[in-house]
Amino acid sequence: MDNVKKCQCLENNLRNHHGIVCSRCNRERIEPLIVPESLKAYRIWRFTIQNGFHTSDGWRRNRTWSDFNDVLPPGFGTEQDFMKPWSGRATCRNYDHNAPNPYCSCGYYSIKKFAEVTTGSFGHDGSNDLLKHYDNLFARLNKQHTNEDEQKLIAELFFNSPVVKTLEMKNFALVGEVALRGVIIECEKGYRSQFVEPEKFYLLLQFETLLGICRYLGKIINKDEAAIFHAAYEWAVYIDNYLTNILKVYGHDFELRFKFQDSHLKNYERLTGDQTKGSEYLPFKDHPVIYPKIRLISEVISETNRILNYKLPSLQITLEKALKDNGNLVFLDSRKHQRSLRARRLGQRKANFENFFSYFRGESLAEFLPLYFEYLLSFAHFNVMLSEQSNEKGHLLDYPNLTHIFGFRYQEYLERKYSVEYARNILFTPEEHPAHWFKDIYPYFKKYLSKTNKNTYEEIFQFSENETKKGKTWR
Amino acid sequence: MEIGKPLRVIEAVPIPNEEPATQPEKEKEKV
Repeated sequence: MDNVKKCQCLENNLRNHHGIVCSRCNRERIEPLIVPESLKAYRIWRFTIQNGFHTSDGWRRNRTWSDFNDVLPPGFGTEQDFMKPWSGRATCRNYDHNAPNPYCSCGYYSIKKFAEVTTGSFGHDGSNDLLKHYDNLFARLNKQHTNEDEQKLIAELFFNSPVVKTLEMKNFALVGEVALRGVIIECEKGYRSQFVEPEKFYLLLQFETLLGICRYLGKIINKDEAAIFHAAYEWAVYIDNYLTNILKVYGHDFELRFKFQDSHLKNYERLTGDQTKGSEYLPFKDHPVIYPKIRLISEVISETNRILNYKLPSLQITLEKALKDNGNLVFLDSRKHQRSLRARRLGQRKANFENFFSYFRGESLAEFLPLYFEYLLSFAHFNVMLSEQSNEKGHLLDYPNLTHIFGFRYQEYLERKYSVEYARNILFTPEEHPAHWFKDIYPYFKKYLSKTNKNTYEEIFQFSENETKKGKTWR
Repeated sequence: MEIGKPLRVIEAVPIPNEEPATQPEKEKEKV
């Protein structure tokens, strides 16, 4: 049953594009049809590693609360949360009417079918974003910008470590399975709605994209095909773990799905419609090709590496090698030489390889690496915190050696840096703490911990203070 | 995102929790 009259005027592509009702053919006010609860649809949101669901992550990124404030703003983690782009009702940019209006283009857009559109800026497939970004990044990894030794250092670090590869992922599309509520304009392919509430998130990728990126890096350091498959598989596992954990903080489930262009998909027919969602993207965890076959290659390689005692790249050695040609380099203490803490904080947003490779850079690899390692280790530390759901350990050295998960050796680097200070005072926060680098997402994580009743530092401190007031003495 | 021609305008309304209507308390029997 339709309550919008079909347009008898000339076809207007622009109007059809946004699902706008023709005002010539529908002169009278449209009474909405009532449906119970909600409708199911799909839409994408962009996700960045450092800022979560933030709209832009370029060098001209808009500054957010954490650039100007140290204390959490109110409304964090509730319905009206500015960190959640789906919070609150839809608004119209042009007029002050309630969104969505049938005659306007406002409202939250979503489409009916999962993975129907894969390309373009609203496409559900995330591998295009990934490939474009990595193309840009590695286009500069050539003789013109870096010498051969530097290339090998960077490629080795990237190739072996799923953490580095995940950290460099930028602004990719996450598909949300959403429930639409309130006023909804239903159109042929999708909807415009008043409220949208995600229920589950998906990342859709093509396995060939991950393989291609790993293959490019592998060729620089002469790796064989099996090692390339291993690197790609490890990366997929890491992406899956990281996004599952971070989206739990937002209160949502996550699933990684892969399309594998393999002609021998024999088990494909066995999967039910619900598993495939009528698309070629299949869940990573029971993918008919990746899970039984590529996982096997990966396990053989990692076991072989373990038996043959293969050394993963060490941060300390990488830094020393980068310093080789530049022995006179003096590291300036940025806290002393920047104007303020806030200025350093703004600088911290830029410690990724994209900025290093940019044409404006005036620093060598050796100058760039210390800040990058801070960023990298804080990300690695944050991931361990997320998977353990606790932030009680303030330093990566408090954990057992996690080299095999991170894909690089970091113990020696950290021990050299913190040998004296760390031994003297166990409570100081190192520069590699996620609180320094993930100023937008980390407070969210703390909130999440208090929701799941995990102890945060403040609570432990408060608890011991209260107990002391009661007269209890601590030995 | 192309969503095509409009078909209908809907309003999705939450179903109210149907709680059993509280019955008026019986008048206490006078002793």
